Amino acid sequence: MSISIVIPAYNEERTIVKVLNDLRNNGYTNIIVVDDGSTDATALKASPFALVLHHIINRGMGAALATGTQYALATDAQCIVHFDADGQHRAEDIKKLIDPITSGAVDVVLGSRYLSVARIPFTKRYFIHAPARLLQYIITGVALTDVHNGLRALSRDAAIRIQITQDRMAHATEIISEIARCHLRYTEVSVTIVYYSYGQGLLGGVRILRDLIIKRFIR
Amino acid sequence: MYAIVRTFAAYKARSIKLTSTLIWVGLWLSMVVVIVQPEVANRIADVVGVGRGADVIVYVAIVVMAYMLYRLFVRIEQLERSITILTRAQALKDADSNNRSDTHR
Repeated sequence: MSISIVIPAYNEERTIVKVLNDLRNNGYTNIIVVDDGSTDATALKASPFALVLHHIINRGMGAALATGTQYALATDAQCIVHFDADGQHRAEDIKKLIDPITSGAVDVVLGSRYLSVARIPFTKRYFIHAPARLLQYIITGVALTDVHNGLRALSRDAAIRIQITQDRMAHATEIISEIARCHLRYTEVSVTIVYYSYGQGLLGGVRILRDLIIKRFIR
Repeated sequence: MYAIVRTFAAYKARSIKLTSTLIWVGLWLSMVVVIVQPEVANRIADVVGVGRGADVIVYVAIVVMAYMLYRLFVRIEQLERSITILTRAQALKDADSNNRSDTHR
């Protein structure tokens, strides 16, 4: 099955080469890096190891993922994996993500850092993630253990039907909504997130909520 | 008066649509009326049951401006989406032409 890895990247020159090597060492060669208007050397460093798409203007992670996914579909990818450029994801987890899709069991596989015992910053786990999970359940009707994980795998059919219109960080919740809307079969698998820094932060979460509310008014 | 003239000029120059023109001119005219005849506001206030004419003006202004802000937010979001669509089209077009000139991969 043809597998494409889509990596949205904005100013990740420090980590992008390591990430690409990690992927290639695990046998993934169809890699699409979407350079989302980076002002550093991300695109330059990535180009020997992957196909690089260029957003002239920075549009956000959701937009970059949508561009990369669309390109992957055009190159006949049967399974599309979303992967972060900052080194927080491990390439060895990808196998767990695509197995349920290649076997035809589900259409979407979502990575979850909470399915196994993990070292997660305490404040993050209880003060940020727990309310976020409840909120996501209220908004999308889907209950997940990990609501903001960029590691996911989509079958070709799922990738075609899921419409990502949220340009910025609200895309993660939007994808879940789309899964519910399209009645796609999904599952979560345990993955390991490598933490260097704090991630979105509280303000980021508020912005996401705002974006999703605004979406209700746009048609 | 100045604003009314400018609004019509913009309409002539096709910058704004007919409905917008009428709405804005209507807005300027009502402002003129209220300024020249403050009693209008007081009578509305009595009809509605609010304190003073000046209060009515403030309440109406707030509602009108809140609605305009909402419309602006919606427009901006639509613009953002358009920009993304254009950026994406350019990215995909560039990728295509790069692929044609590549000799290996």
